[in-house]
Amino acid sequence: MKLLGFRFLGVLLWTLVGLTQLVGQGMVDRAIWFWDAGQTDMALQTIRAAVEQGEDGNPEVWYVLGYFEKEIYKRETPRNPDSQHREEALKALMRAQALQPSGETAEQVRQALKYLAQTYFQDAAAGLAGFSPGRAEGMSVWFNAYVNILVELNPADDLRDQKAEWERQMGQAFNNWLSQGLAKPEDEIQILAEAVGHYERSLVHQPGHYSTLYNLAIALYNHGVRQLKRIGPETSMFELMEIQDVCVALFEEALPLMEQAHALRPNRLETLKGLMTIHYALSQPEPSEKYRQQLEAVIRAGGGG
Amino acid sequence: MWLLAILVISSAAAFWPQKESSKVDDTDTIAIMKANFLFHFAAGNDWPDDAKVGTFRIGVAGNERLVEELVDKYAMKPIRQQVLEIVALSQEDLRKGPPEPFCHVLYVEQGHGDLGMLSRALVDAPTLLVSHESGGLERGALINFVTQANRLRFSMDSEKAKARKLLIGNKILSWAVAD
Repeated sequence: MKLLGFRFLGVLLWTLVGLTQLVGQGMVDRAIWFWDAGQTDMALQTIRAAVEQGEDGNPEVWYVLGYFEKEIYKRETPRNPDSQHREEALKALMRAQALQPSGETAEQVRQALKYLAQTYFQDAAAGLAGFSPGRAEGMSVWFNAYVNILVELNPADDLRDQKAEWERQMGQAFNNWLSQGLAKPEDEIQILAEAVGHYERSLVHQPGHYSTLYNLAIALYNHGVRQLKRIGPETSMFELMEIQDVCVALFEEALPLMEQAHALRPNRLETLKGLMTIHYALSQPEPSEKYRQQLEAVIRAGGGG
Repeated sequence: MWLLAILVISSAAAFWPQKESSKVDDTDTIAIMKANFLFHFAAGNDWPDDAKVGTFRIGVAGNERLVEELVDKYAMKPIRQQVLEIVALSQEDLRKGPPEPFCHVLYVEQGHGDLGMLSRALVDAPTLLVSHESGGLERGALINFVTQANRLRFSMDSEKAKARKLLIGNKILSWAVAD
């Protein structure tokens, strides 16, 4: 009698599980039916209801939700880099991926995530092309989303080079903002700090990278020169000394970075010119002259690579 | 479509927009500072009354960029009641002695004039002779630019300046360093 009771309970439990799955599957099918019929809102409501009604452990449900959100994002005109639908798609698809889907669903989730990664990367890169400091935070969010997807899809991949390049590009974008005179004087220090911070993070990923070292040195040196250029008849002797102190500190910071870049590519004209110029600004005529002569020799030899 | 996406991801580096390197700003930083110092030497010291008429002249020998900086930023500024004029001088201009017409401040870049000869010729003239070379004061300059801890500073011979009827201002004196 007891055994029969247990069997009955077991059958009942199995039936309930089966029914739940059938109900869940039914909701997915219904959501897809709504979607195919062009009833986007109903499709979304149905699949979200499926998630809320106990299907949050089912990767297929998350995939379908992510797919819907992704497709809605794709339809947006113009494409909105801050689209809520892309964020929702990312969350749903990452959840699906974390639940370790199998078979066809696994491949579909991977492809959908790759698509989102591509869009995040493109938005970050487009942000660099039309850079302004106010967009920097959003751009970093997009790039990090791109990186997070790649890590999720291929945890063993080494992304240090891509991260270093991103940080270098951001440093360069802030640096260009300064060198093009687009920053307000009161914002310059903050913009310089951003440029330096990005270059330094790039060097963490790729220590001893020529271009990063060179551009960081230039950012520091040129910022000092910008301060000096503001000197004029209204500048008091006291202010002149203060400005000089600030500039010399920047030049002294730039010098070893330029020397490291020079050591990596001893015949580069830009680093030879950089060293010649920085030493000159530090009132060091002998080393400045030494690099001027090297620069001339490299030019005469037709080098500079 | 997916092939495109994969290509984009795998060759991401090709899409980075900021490819060009920065360029070093080759503005002559020392000329900027020297110009400001020379302006303060002109405005912060006092000349005898007979030198306070007409134009106030700063002569510069052997440094075109310094002349440009002075002309660009300071030439329109009066020195007390006098109009400031910047005079570019060559080594040839100084070969036979001090330039004509009279310069209130005369800056001679190293190798572009004989400081000793100029100093002797200017012994009775209220010209503030300025140099930038080792031992400039011993050779006859009244003010000599020097480098201290990578910074441009100046030393001066205030006694010799007084003998030439030049009254060195307190602010200028206070910033002078030992030679």
